[in-house]
Order: sequence, then C-alpha cells, then structure tokens
Amino acid sequence: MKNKFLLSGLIIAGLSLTSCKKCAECHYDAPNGIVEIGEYCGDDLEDIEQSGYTKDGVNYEVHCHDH
Amino acid sequence: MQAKVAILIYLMLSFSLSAQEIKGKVIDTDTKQPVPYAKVGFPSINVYTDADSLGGFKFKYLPQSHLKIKVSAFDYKVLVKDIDLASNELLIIELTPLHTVFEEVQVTASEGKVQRENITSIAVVSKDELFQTGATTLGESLIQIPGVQSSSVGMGISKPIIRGLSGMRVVTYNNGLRIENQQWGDDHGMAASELGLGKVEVVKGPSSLLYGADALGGVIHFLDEKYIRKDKDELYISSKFESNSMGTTNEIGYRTHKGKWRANIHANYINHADFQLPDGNFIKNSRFWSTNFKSSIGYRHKNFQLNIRYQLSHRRLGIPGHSHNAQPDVLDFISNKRQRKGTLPAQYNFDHFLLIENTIFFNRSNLLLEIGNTNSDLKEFDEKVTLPFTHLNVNNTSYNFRYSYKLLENMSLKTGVQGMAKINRNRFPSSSLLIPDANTLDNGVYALMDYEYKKWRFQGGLRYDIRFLNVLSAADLDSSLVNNINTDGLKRNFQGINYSAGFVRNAKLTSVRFNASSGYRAPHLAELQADGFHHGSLRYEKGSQTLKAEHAIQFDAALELHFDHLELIINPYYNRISDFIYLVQTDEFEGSFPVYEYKQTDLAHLFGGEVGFHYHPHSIHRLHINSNFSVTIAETNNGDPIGLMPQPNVNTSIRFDINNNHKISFKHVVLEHIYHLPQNRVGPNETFSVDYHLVNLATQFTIGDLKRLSASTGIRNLLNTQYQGHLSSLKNLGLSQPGINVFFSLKYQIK
Repeated sequence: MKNKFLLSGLIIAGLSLTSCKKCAECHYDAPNGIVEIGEYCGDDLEDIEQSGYTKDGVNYEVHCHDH
Repeated sequence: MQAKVAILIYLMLSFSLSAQEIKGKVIDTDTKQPVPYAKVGFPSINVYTDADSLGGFKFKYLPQSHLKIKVSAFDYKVLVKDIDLASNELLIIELTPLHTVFEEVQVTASEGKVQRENITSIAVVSKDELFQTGATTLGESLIQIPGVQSSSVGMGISKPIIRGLSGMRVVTYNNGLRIENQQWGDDHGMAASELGLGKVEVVKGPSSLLYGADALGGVIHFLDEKYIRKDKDELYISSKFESNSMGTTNEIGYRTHKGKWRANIHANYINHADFQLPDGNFIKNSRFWSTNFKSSIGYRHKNFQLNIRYQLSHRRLGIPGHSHNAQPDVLDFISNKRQRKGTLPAQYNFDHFLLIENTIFFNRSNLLLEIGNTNSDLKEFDEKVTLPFTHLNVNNTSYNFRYSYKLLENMSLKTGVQGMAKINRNRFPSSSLLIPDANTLDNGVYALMDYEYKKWRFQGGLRYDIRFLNVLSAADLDSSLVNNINTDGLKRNFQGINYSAGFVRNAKLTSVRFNASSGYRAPHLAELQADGFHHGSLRYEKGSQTLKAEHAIQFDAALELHFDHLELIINPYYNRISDFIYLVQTDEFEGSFPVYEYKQTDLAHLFGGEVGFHYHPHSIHRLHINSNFSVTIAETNNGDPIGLMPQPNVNTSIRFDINNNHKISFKHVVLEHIYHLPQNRVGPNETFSVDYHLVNLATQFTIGDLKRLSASTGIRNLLNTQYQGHLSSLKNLGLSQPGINVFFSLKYQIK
C-alpha cells in the first residue's frame, strides 16, 4: 500500500514539475522572400512572436511553424 | 405578485401525489392471446420495461397524467397512443400482427408523434442507422438523411446543410438546448459528437414557431441515448480503427438506473492523422483529435421529472490548404508522407453545454422548464505558435418554459416563452478580430394548437419574437487588431411574427401532409461587420451594416404510399425567402484569397424536394432496399442561380439481415451507393462540379454465446473514387476528398 502511495506521489510530482517546452521554426517575410531565423523555444518563442524580428532597423512580423 | 405566487403554489399542490402502480397486459388483437416479451414504454419520460412471458407488465411512480405509450413486439405493428394514467385501470394493449415491419417507429421530440403523424417535415434517424456504414464523423453520417447534406473543411470540420441552407440558417439543438458555437463561419464545424447519441431529428424548413429565430433552413436536434431500464446497469468499452487516416476512436460508457435515479456517462478520445487521397498522397494538416465527455443524471418521482445534462468537448482541428507561396499550387497542399503531429494553421475548440430540464405532470397537462448554458471557446492559430490569430468566445444562456394542455381528448394546446442572452467576446492576446464584441437578447412567445378528427390531424400556431443586438465599438482597439472588421458600434432591433399551419391525413394506404411555416433570421455579426481575411474558410469576406432581417415562408407537401412490401414518399417544397443574404464571389483577390461580399436580394426562391422508396419483400424477408433522391434549386427573383448550393444526390442502400445463431452471429450486411449529380447551377465566379459515385460496404456481427463482444467492419469509398464535393473548401484548392477507407470497430460489454 505504501509503495502505491509513493508511486502515485512520484507520478503526480513528475507531471506537475515537468513542463512541456514548446519549440518552433520561425521566419519572417522580407521584401526578397522568406527568411528563416531558426528555432525558438518557450519564452523566447513567445517574445519573438509578439515583438517581431528587427533587422537593419526594420521590424518584421515573425511567423513560426513546426514544418 | 403575491397572488401569482399563490396560484403557482396551488397549481404545484393540486395534482395528486399518491404512489401509483400501473399494471397492464399486451395481447394479440385477433386471437386475444398474450404477446410475450413486448417492449413497453413512455418515450416522454424515458421509462421502459419488458413484458413477461404472459404479456404482463407493470410500472411504478408514474405521473397521473396523459402520456403517450409505445409498445413493440416482433412481428407486430408498433403501437403508439395516448393513455390516461390517472384512471388506475388495468391497461390492455392490443397489438396487430404484421408480417412486414419496415423500420422501428420513432416518436419525435418536437411534436411528440410518430413520424407518419407529424405535420412538419421531420426525419428521425437512430445513431445505429447513421453509422451502419462506418462514417468517420457525425457530420459525414448526416448525408444519409434525405434533404440533408454537409459542407466540409478537410475531414474534421463539417457543417450540416438542410435543403440547401446552412450556417446560421440551421439551428442545432442538443436535448432541447440551443447550441451557439460560432456556426456562422464555414470552417466552424458542428459542435456535436456521436458520443452517447441516441438519435437525430431533422426538422426541414423554417421552424421558428418552436425553435425561435434563425432556423430558416431547419433544425438539427441531437437526442441522447435513452436511460437504461430500471434496476439494470451497463458498462462498455469500444474502439474503432480507420485505415485511411490511421484514425482511432476509443470510448467508454456507463448507464445505470437505480430506483428513482438514472444516469448515463460517456467519454471518448478520437485521433486522426492526415487523410490519404485516392492517388496515395496525403492532405497536409488534415489531422485532428478530439476528446468528449457527456453525462446525464435523471430523477423521476410521481409527477416530477428532472434531467441534468452536461457535455464537454475539446477539439484540435488542422486546417488544410496552407502555403507560403504567393501563387500556391495544388502540390503545396499535399505530401507523400502521413503526419500526425499538430501543426499550424489549426483550431482549438473548447465547449461546455449544461441543461437543467424539469417537467411537472398534471392530470391533463404538463409544464416544461428548461434552463441551459453553452460556452464555446474557439482559438484559431494561423502563423504563430503562441499567439492565436483570433480567439472568440460565445456564452449563451437560454430558457424555455412550455405548458402543454390537453383541452379535449382530440385537442391540445402548447404555449410558452423562450429566449436567450448571448454574449460574444474576443479574448486576448490575439492577432485579429473576426467579429466584434456584441450582446444579443432574444425573447419569444408562442402558442400552438393541435386538433384530431378521425384520420385527420390539424395544427396551427403563432409566435412573436424580438431580438436586441448591441455591437460594441472596436474603435479604441489597436488598429492592427481590427483589420478584418468594421469597428463601428451598432444597435439594432429585429422583430418577427411567425406561424405554422398544416394538416396530415393518415389512412392505411396513404398519408397526405401539407404544412405552411414561416421563420425569420436577423443578420449575423459576421454578415454585418466582416471586412477581412478568414483563413479558415480560405477567403476574404466583406459585410454590410445595412442588411435587413430575412423572412421565409415554406410550403411543404408530402404523399406517402404504404403497400405491404413497398413504401413510397414524395415530398416537394418551396421556400420563399425575402431579403435573402448571400455570399457572392467578386472579381477581386486579396493576395491568393478570393474576395466574397455579403449581398441581399429581394427574394430568393428555393425549391426541390425528396423522393424515396423502401422495398421490403415478404418473399425475401431479410432484404431492405432504401433509396432517396434530394435536390434543391435556388435562384434570385431574376432567375439567377444562388451559389454554394449542394449537388443533388441519390442515396441507395441494400441491407440484408442475417441474424444467424452461431458463435459468430452476423446481424446484417449493407451495401450503400451514393451518387452526387453534377452541380451546374452556380453563382458568379463559382466553379461547376462534376458527378461522382461512392460505394460503401459494411457488416456487423457479435462473437460468443453471450454476445458481449460486437464488431463492425467495412470499406468506405470502396472504388477509391477521386472526387471533389461541391461544398468542400478543398475543392477551391483543387484537392480531392479522402480515398478508400477500411474500418474495424469492437465493442465489449463488460457488464
């Protein structure tokens, strides 16, 4: 019985302490076509999707996909 | 006020509360001998039992009221009739022998009558019939109902079309609860699942009288599986596999009935990878998953019945047809590799439906009090993983209070009030608004009279509705959010006076029915305020704030011929809609998206009908051949075709009942053929569609003496036909629908 409680506790702790970090490949649409800017994860991904990508003083809207 | 409360208390206490046991016997009308093991029940209170070997049956704690009893037995004609339970007499039920039983007789929820006695055009189909050839989704299965078709975006999203009308013109009800789920969008599918479903009722044509505003095309009413019989319980697990999408559906269900309490609980999980085309390629991002939970708890004691129903659905639906190319090619949308992992664009739907339904039975009347709430949350992700393109929430609280009174033995009255308060809100963060925030308040009052005289039944009713619409201004929002809508606020009222009148005459050989009914629909927020892209429907849409309400009048007639081995039905209709709002494709393009505008024509004429037969020869008792043809022609007053109308179709099924008594016992084999005729009547810039044939084959069987394990297997699109449904959004991309699909499902009755 003790083992069952221990196992259940470990499973619950494991599930609540591990988070799924979302990653995606991102790009922006430059005047000469799509420019890939690599993979972003977690907070970085959220930041770049909201604030965009700045290159040569121009801020581009960023699109991220996992394809 | 005190007087009203006193009257209400008097009414509540005035009915008898004494415990009551009703006994009866089922006998053969010719021989007067007992009919053993007949099924006896009261559909309106969901109470059933089996008669014993001597035809005897009994019920406890029934309301002392007039109720409809339904009695069926093998090789007998199903009996449905009104009885007075207050009389306390022994019920003698006489059944008429019948050698050819066509199908199970269903009592409709909307009129409380068997199908043949309904005055409005109502089709009732059980879940077993809908899924007998293994349809993947509930939307796909509905095309078996004459006059009903569906439009789709991939396989996960489908919308019902009744007699050519869909979207906001088709109202969905779930056990009496009106469902609001952003159904205005072509890519916003039906918020219903086959989980725990008992049957589907489709009311064809304007149905404002009992269902309120908007139902110009009709109503789809999903009704839960019945509660199990008293002192029984049932636990099952089931699993279904589909080869085309490597899709699985796993389900668990429990039903119980102890004393006065009853409950049904079901849950499932559905997961499909990308669908395979007939040429072997896959439609990119046509994958979807969903999980659903449904529960009903019922309490019934003497003259009171309570049902509390709750349903939760969470769906993730991939949107096919996405490309980064400015001039996309069909090859951009397909892949030679099947994928299941979630990608964008996608929709996330999260729905809650709650209904509290009380019925109080008096001697000659009953009072129905329904209060419900639906909350539908929709996130559409387009090009960003963490930020939805749009995030919409609609919360709808509805009420329906209906008093049904039996004035005379052959005359009854239904009267009531019905309404809803709908709150549309955008949630943030999101990139764009597709519709503005708005509040809608609907109230309606109605009365419906029913009179029977010999073989005739007449019905007439009147209803008044008013809608207050308050669209909130979005002018103070960041301009980047409101690129797709008109930001001006708007306050408008819409009113409608509607009626329904008709008759049915039922004789042994013929049934004749005629009905005139009206309905109204106020323009939706999207029609009033849209001005931008809608990636889900793959087009740019423009609305207009000046649109008026639509008003419809439908004339519906039916002639049914009932021979010993053959039934024929002819059901023409004409639906005249004034101020018809429709979407028309313009010559313009915004990027790769065609621009569509909402326009209004003075008059739209929709006409057509359904013709069908059911052949069940006595010489080949196991054979059933069903066929029906449905067509809708829609045009403006000038005779110009109205676009986006479904292809006419002929559905034919040949069912051979086997019912052998071996270890593996086959129930039946079904061969289904669906022929979609060409659609040549199209709107401006809309493309034609060619005809195509689909063939499905399926069988059902049980394994073992106890028949706890049942299975179903078959092949859909047996000929691997390459076809493009006229109303499939994939057609605009040059994509075909899915190819051959082998399915296999197992259900194990644990208890």
